[in-house]
Amino acid sequence: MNSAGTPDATPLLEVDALDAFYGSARALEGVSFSMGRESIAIVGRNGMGKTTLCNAIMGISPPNASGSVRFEGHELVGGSSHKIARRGIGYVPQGRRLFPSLTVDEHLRMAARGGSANGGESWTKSRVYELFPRLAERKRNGGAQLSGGEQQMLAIGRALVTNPSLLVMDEPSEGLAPRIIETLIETFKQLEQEGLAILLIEQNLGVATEVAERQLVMVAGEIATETTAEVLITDAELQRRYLGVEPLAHE
Amino acid sequence: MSEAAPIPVESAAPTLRLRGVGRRFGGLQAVREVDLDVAQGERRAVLGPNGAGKTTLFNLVAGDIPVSSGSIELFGRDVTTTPSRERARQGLARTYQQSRLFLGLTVEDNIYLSIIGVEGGRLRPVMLPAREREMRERAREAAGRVAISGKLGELVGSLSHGEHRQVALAMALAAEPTVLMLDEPASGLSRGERGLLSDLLLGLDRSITLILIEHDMDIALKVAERVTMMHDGRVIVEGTPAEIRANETVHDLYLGRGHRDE
Repeated sequence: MNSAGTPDATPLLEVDALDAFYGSARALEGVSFSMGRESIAIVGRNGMGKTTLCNAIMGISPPNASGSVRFEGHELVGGSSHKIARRGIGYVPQGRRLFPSLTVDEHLRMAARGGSANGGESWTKSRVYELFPRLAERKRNGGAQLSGGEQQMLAIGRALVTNPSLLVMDEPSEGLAPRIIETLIETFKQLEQEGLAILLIEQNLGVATEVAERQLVMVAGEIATETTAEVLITDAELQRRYLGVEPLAHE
Repeated sequence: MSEAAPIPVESAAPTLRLRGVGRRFGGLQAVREVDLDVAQGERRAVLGPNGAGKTTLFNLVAGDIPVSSGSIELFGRDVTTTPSRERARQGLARTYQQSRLFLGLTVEDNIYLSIIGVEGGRLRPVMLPAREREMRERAREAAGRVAISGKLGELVGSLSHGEHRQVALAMALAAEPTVLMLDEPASGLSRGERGLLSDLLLGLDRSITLILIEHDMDIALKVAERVTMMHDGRVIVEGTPAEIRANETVHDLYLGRGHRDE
């Protein structure tokens, strides 16, 4: 793959030979890819290592990742997750992980960090409320009182107000109504144009292919192939092979 | 009691009937004045924007939380104050958005326990080997239906989020329910797994009444015969999938630009 989208030589994020284990079980095996200020999607069946990859980048788990993850040239492997976040990586984890007793407004105030890392309009609490009017209606409600979809909106908003230069999202569309997903897709496209990089894990193939041109397919802890959105959405055989439920042939 | 319990004989009585059901959480009226009839064997989807009250409605029907007002009938009997466990015994099974599983047990054991839960109700120190074998077999068969057979012996805690969803669905199916309520079953599943889910739901026996909350319209509008649309805790539209697709309010509030008549 050439990196035509990135004129400067250093990629924004460079993952090289990343391994990760849960106990003795290997969850990631030699994962390598790099990205500039662009959107890429990671797709694949359940249990293939997609979430583990996100967590390894963010320094969350598993603790014994080896290999290299460089962000703007800085090595992240071995670093603590709050320091990784402070380098400008926003994270929308799977399962939302909100604070049950903090209100919507408090979540956003706590996470907010001024300025825009990419020269675009910076993300503020009020801009998040514009994006998700439903959250504005519920700004004084606690995390535990939100519906599943509202929690998902808040998790995304919380990552946006940190004004990251890379946004790592683990199934952001999960639990959201179709109309909200449309808005999100438009927002992500706009963010990419403003220079924000997006690493998107998505089971909703419509969302994955609308947002990102580059599609990395994970199988059993490895990047099995890279393809484009157009190929992935139209190639039924490719979908069946990598996203289908038939057992994959063992090599 | 001197009177025998009334036996519901009217086939016309709906499997599920809600009248004026409401639920308040402090200052928030999550569900308001909901009337709902679901016929035996029907496939019903409950749609609505995030925060419309869909999951709360499920919680009320399953008996996980009490109603603030109104009444709920299951198979023609009032169950408004019946505990959730008893409703499960009567044949009602549900899944949750966030799966509730025993992370330290295997996939097979989780499904097996869900069968025991509705059958015997308690773990006995000794169980007839034949009975045990039959229930194990049922657990494995349910795992096969949701394509998680390859992981029967693995600890649930080591599985991914999407796999948890598959296990939760297997647990609901293994209980052999007569009313199956699924809360966003497609979320967390890959496209292939969604195809399997949709085949599974379309192939469900007609003895099972299905009520489905789902944001994946490819599945919801394909599987459902009738759709109930909720907004702000109320039922605002009810109709066939075609009527729902053609409804402007539904598009404005929920569907957006996509999913217009096909």
